[in-house]
Amino acid sequence: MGFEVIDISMYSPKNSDLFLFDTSVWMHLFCPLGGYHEKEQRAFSLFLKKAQSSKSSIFITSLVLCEFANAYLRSDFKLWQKREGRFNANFKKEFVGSNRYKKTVGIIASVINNILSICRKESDNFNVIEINKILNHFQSIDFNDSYYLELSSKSEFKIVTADYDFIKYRNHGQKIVTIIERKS
Amino acid sequence: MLEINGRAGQVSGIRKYLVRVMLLLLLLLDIIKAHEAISFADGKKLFRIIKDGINSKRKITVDFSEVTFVTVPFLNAAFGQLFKYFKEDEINNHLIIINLKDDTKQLLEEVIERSKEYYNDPESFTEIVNDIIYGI
Repeated sequence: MGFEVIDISMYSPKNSDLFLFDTSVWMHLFCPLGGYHEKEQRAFSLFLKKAQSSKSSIFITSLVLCEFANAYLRSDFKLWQKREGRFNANFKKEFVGSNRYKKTVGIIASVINNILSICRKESDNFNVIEINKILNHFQSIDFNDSYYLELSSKSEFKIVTADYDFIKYRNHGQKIVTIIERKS
Repeated sequence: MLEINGRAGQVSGIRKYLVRVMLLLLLLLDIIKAHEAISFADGKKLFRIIKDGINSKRKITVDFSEVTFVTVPFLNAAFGQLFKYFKEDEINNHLIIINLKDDTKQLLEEVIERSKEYYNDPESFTEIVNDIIYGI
């Protein structure tokens, strides 16, 4: 496969498609963020609906779930700080274990079960993945994104993402499905 | 969609009041034609009906029966956006949501809470969330 950026609004998922939704997409689909990034909410939710209708395969790894759970929890902590006016509160000492924390972890747990109900679990294939290629990508993008590139290369996944690092960095052969800004 | 119109009649012996009680029961399954409530666009369809209903002072009941899977964009579009146009009291006085699964109810409560926060102060909310989203 060669590097290609695919406009999410123009692409019709097929039954044979294998997708890896990255954490940015799951955040727009399952973390309540009010009216934030409405364009992304529209685009990714429509794409998920189409992928479900066409019975495409959506894969997920433990690393993606880990990033999602942590990002959701961090967003809740930041909003809790603002709500409570406790801007200097320490995450581990004052938030972890609080009633708010327990409630949010409960919500994240049920959201994760929902996500898993529509995904196929994928192993991280660390035993066969070429770490040098990951470390090479890591010169330009973050480690986890580098890992997703290599994993997708091995498994022929198309990466669905809101993370523009995957577009700016072109030294890979993956197909990237994302929102493309159109100038009117 | 089932619309119920009822009438209550005479209030006093001197003047007659015609009180028109308008109730709107929305079966979500009928609106989205699916057991999965996924897209923002589907949520927007429901939102328009609810918004018109509140503007017409109707009591609206949304029934989630047989809807098994729900995303946040759907809930944001259908319910979260109401807080952009109406006060919380107005929404509470006109809208009832029934037959949600426990996990959907929990998620909807979060959607409502965060939508209130967002529409109360979009700039500050966006600044906080940007830190998280762009930090992934």
